[in-house]
Amino acid sequence: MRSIRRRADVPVTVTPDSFEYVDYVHEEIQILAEECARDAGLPDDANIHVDVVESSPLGRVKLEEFSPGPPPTIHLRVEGGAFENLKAPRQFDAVRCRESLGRFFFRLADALDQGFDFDGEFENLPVPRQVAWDVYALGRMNNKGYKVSHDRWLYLFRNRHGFTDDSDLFFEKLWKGDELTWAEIKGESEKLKSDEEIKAASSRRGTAAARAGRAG
Amino acid sequence: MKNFHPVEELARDERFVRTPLFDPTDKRRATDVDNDVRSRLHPLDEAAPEGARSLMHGIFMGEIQALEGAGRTAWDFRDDGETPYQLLLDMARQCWDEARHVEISVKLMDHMGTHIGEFTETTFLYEAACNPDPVLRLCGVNRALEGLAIDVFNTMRNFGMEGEDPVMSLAEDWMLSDEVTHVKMGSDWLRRMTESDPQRRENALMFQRTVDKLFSLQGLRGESEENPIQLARQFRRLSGFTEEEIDEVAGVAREAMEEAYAQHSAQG
Repeated sequence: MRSIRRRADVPVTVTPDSFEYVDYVHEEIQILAEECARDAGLPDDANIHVDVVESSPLGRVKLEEFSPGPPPTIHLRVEGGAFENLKAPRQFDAVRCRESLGRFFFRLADALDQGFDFDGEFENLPVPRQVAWDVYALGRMNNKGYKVSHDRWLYLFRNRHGFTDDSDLFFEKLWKGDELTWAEIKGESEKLKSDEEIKAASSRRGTAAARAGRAG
Repeated sequence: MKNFHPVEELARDERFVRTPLFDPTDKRRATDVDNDVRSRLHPLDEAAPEGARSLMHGIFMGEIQALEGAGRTAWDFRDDGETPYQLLLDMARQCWDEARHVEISVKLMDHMGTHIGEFTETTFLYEAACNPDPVLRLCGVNRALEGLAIDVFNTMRNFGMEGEDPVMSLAEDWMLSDEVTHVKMGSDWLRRMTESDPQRRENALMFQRTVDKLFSLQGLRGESEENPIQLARQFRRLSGFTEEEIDEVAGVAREAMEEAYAQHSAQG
């Protein structure tokens, strides 16, 4: 079912206007993106652009440009697979679209929030820190009624913080999504998987793993 | 019960959606061989745990089809006057293993936050198990595809060990030990049943090469850091592969990787 545009949505531009490789509809993506931006709490005057790379079946989302403004500027590059129905190749999946965009928009709203006090490089965080922040974003999306998989993210989180009770407790704290700061997220994530452990794992594997331990 | 059950008639409920392995109408780039996408699975990689979830669903589907394939082999050649009864018993034993693997896979999927039917099903394994010659069937399934299963289970076992995930590492280890036996069955029966028929042996090995090439999947399997699924030399030795045969599988995998690079360059 298509979403209905609401007045309070934050304007988002989406490219391309039409799709050749996949069966997606520009307007549908734009409406969902605007709802996500609004629910994340991004300001009404933000310049937000989403570029869908339909020629790629992969699903990476990359922040191409971000400046806090005011007004803030946000440019996301999304590979087409991020919006794809897992059971119907090349067909659009609104749930996956909302999750992919919402996860970034909630984190970007955090980054603009002085109370959150983010002091890292958004696109250069070590994977465990990034995933911890993702879980904090997804937990809040869950609270707002978005369909997100708790168990899927628990597994992704455990891989980066350990299959332990302490790790699960931290996950549930993040999922509950209650007014956390970047220092709290980063600090608890580091206790479970330190920068040294990440670097050691990367160096054991060589260059292919270098990005796992990127500085942040 | 009829012989040679067609793939279209496999029993599936509404949770299962079937898609072709390769869709010629899909013009998107079939593979991304950038180093930051294609690499050996490691828990700290950005995409690896998600890839492992999808791979686990593929393993689950493969186990169902391996059960169906081994069951068909035990039945289809029951009274052809040539296939040894002991081979049929081996297939029955394999069914027992595969049924257990299906149950383990469902529990592992639950552990990984996925579920039956989250991803689609491809039927390549069962299709290889439809060959009318039991020797070719054993080469295609037990040596090529169960050989791939050895590589996949070993990769997943290592992935579990690197992430200190005891559920994954132990479950994959148990299944891996069975796969070594299944491949060994294929290797042993190939040699015994073609002892006096070199042409049939060559045909069977040719069929295996074709299946191996197809399922090196554009560099998915290999021996470098760029290959998500690592060729498991040690376990292949245990399963009756000679060093030359392992080198040949590695060569086929390298060829597939080079073709993927060439395709990638041609597409700009």
